[in-house]
Amino acid sequence: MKHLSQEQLDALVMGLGADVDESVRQHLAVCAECAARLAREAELESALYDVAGESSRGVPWTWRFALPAAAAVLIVVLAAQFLLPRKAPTTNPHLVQTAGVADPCDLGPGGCVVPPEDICRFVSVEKRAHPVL
Amino acid sequence: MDEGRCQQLSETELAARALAGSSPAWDEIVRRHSHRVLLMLLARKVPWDAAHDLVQEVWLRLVRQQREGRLKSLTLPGLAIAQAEWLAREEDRTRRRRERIAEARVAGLSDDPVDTGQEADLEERAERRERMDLVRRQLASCPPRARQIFQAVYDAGGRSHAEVARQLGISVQRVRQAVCEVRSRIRVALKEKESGGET
Repeated sequence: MKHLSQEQLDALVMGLGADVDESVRQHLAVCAECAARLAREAELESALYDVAGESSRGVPWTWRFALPAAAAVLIVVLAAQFLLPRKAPTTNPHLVQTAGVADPCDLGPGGCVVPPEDICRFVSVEKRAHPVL
Repeated sequence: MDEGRCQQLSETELAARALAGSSPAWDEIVRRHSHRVLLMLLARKVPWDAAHDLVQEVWLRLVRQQREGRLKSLTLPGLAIAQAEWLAREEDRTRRRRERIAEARVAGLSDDPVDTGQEADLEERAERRERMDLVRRQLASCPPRARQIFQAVYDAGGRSHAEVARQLGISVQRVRQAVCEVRSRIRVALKEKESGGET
């Protein structure tokens, strides 16, 4: 018995042989092996259609809108953060108004050297602020 | 509306006309989707001639449902495939039940055998899922041009290779070659999977 060739099976499942040869039809009716091969080819062909259908459908429509919308919101938020004028950093007003809190080293050579009278003044100020000391 | 104009319609427009009872619309639907329904039946190991008869039966049932006002929507080819699957399953169940009853009578046992159809369905679905995954992976590894040709051929719409060739501006021979290459690549992967070596 001559089995069907791969080309014949391909033509059958791809619908290329619209009018199928009577001998092919008869062979399929009696040959379990070729019928099984045809079933496998038809399975493959069906899977190809299913996968192609998935690809053409692509992402669901909800995601088609939700993803760009989320991206747009993110861009607006980031742009607002970078472009809007920033508030000045919050600082302790007490420190700003207190004399001598600036870094003495910025004053130039010798700026970090504390004269002895200033040390005494510091100690007395501290004592006034915290009598328990 | 004549058949020529129906060929230009989208799936949605065609379905709307068929639901309204247009015969040319039904003819075009049958032309576009019969092959897909036939493939599903052949894949379920329904013999060639019986599969062709069942395809006719599917369309007759759908048209009858539409005429009786029982068809509210027409999603194709899904609805036709589901109908064909149901018919094939029913036929298969009837045949198996008859065989079991005959066997049980011969063996002098009860004629109420256990139906294992549900288990078989679950197995079949799992197998189909695995097969689809493999096809997806193999397709993803194909060259972009081959994927484009594949998509144009297998996308819904029942276009012939000649129509696809015209659309893409290539020869019919090139379309067939690309399709055969994709199919053969997937066939090899499926064979390897069946013989135990996953790709």
